[in-house]
Amino acid sequence: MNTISIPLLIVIPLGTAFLIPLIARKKRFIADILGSAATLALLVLSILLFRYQGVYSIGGWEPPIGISWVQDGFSNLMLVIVSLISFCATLFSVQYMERYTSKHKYYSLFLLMVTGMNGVILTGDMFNLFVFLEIAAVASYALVAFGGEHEELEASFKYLVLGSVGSSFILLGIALLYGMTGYLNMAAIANNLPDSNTMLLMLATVFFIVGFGIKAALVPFHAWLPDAHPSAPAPISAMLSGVLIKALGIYALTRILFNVIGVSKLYGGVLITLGTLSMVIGVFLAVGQWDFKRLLAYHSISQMGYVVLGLGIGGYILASDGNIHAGTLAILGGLFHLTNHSVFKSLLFLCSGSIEYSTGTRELKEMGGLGTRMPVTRATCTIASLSIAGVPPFNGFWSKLLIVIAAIQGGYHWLAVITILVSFVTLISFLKVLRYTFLGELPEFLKQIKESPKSMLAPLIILAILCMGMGLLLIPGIKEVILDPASAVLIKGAQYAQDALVLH
Amino acid sequence: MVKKLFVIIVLIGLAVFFYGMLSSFSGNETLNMSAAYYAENGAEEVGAANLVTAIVVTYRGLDTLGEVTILFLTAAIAAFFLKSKDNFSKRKVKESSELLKTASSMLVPLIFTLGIYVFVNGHLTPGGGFQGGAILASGLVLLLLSEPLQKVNSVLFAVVESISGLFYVGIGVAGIFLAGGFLDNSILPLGEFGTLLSAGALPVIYILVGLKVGSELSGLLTKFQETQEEN
Repeated sequence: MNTISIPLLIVIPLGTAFLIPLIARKKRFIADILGSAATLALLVLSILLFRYQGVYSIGGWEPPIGISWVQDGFSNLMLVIVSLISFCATLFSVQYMERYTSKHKYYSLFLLMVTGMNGVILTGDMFNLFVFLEIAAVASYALVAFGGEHEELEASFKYLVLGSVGSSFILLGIALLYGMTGYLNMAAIANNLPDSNTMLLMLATVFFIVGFGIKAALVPFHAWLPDAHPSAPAPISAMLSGVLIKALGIYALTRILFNVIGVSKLYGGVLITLGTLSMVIGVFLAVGQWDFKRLLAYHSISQMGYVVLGLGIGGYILASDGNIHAGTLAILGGLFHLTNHSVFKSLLFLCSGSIEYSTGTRELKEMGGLGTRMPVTRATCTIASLSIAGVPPFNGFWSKLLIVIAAIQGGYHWLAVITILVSFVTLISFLKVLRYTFLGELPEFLKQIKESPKSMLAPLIILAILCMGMGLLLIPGIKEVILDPASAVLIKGAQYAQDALVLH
Repeated sequence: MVKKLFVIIVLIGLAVFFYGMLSSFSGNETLNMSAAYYAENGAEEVGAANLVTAIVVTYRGLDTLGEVTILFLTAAIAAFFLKSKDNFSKRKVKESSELLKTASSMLVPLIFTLGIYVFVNGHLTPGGGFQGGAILASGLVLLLLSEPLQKVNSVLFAVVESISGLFYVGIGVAGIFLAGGFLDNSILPLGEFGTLLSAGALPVIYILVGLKVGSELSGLLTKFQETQEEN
């Protein structure tokens, strides 16, 4: 079954992106239908394919000569996340994007971005990773500037310049690895790397950390994100913060560090440092913001810090043969937080879009009392805020709990303390958001506002239910099916090099 | 001044650092594993006389599809952000010289023919879809230089570009059902080595890529023509 259906993960979004400019130029509703149908099909497909694992060779050229796609626990999890968020974002776009011109271009770019992310997640080939990374990145540069206003163009240009610098580093790293081994297939590279940690290999790793660090907006490579994410239309902000920085940044970096180069104590330490810095600096920059979307963007940096911290602690413990239990737990926590973050952060950005749609403003100081007029947005936004702040029983609590427990078990008591403190600051920041948007007096100029249309509320409700229910993923029985296969890929590390060369 | 000095010092420092790192590096004397495989088996497995094409479109066919997509993206983005003016055909431009007009009327058909030749024969001779497409678009540059106010139908380019992209994806999907997998070029017989109809679906793919690249670059050119300001 999956020899036919795996290529569909690329064929559906790519084909639809080519088709939309052809037939939906004049009629907007065709673009709406095609866009939503494509992302729905991807969602169904990624769920159906979830239990399969294996290697698919493109064009029948077997690895390591041809390009191969590797489907394992980690990529399956990422595929479902990307498809879920893109489906919610397209559903939201149907009404929200009515204000903008050329909707067909929007959907075309959107689907190309999804194509790029699916390609990055599936590929087992270094250069192919770069090609799909560029597809997703170039599409996102344009989507950030989609409004066409001065501010948006400026943010997009900044993002474009920094993104290109990141891509160049990644390409240099790939070239170094190819020069060292003579292969582009990731598994073959892993098998043929020099045994000793040579200067060149280290240089390549540094290039990867910097390049993917820029894509993931880790501190100190974060400068583009607080401008780019708020400037985009709300569904695109949800995609960028929800999945793009994870697929292009965190996923690709961990795949290369853990499965190809092999995580060492040094790289684990670097991840821990980057994670902690992002977590702390991100949240303190966020607290003082008054622009709703900009505040959310800074929190994305902070929350990515949690994910990288979890993965870094896990990698460090595994590399130093420490407490395996703690290492496993840390990686599981990191990946679970990644999953949770895509759900609650895209929900928050969609909520901000819903509020902006009704009120026309993003300034927290200008709002107030919206709770009575927009009950659904209020309820979903509250759930998402409590999730990101780590309040039980919402999903963010469970993943943060795992990371804290793992940090304590691994002996990093001070990191556990920092993690909890950052969580408190996050809570304060979101209490501020809820207070200024939904409570208090309704300003005079907002007396006439109404709740957003139903097609925009549906994705909010879907994501809010997930926020409440995703803690269940940790229940024994469910955990073994969904989260464990993903963390196992990273824990086994070098085993990838064997698995990814064997055709199923 | 201090800032510039600082930048220069940092650059020199980096140069010394990288020189120290790479000075001991020696390039490969022999072909590496992948390259050796391509050189030995490429001609036989793919059936294309141009080995570069064989690697680009078959072994690494997915990369080529991706690169075509990136070009599609950039052309679409440039077209989206360049705001075209409706009255561009009314603006005043200097008359092109007689020499240019006469030469272009003779050269443009030749350039188009050369472009088509390059991408149709991409699997036999140096060149291919990207190069052929660029040559096609350069013919349009000459045309626009001699007739700056010429109306060009940019919708046609958009349609050609979308259709050739769709067909490329379609050929990829046909590979799943008729041959070894997505983007397998052996859906058509490999044919006799060195003839025009050989190397499976490779010539078809290159014709599509050539049309796609040509129409994308041409679309971009017409967009530039429409938005250009005269001073």
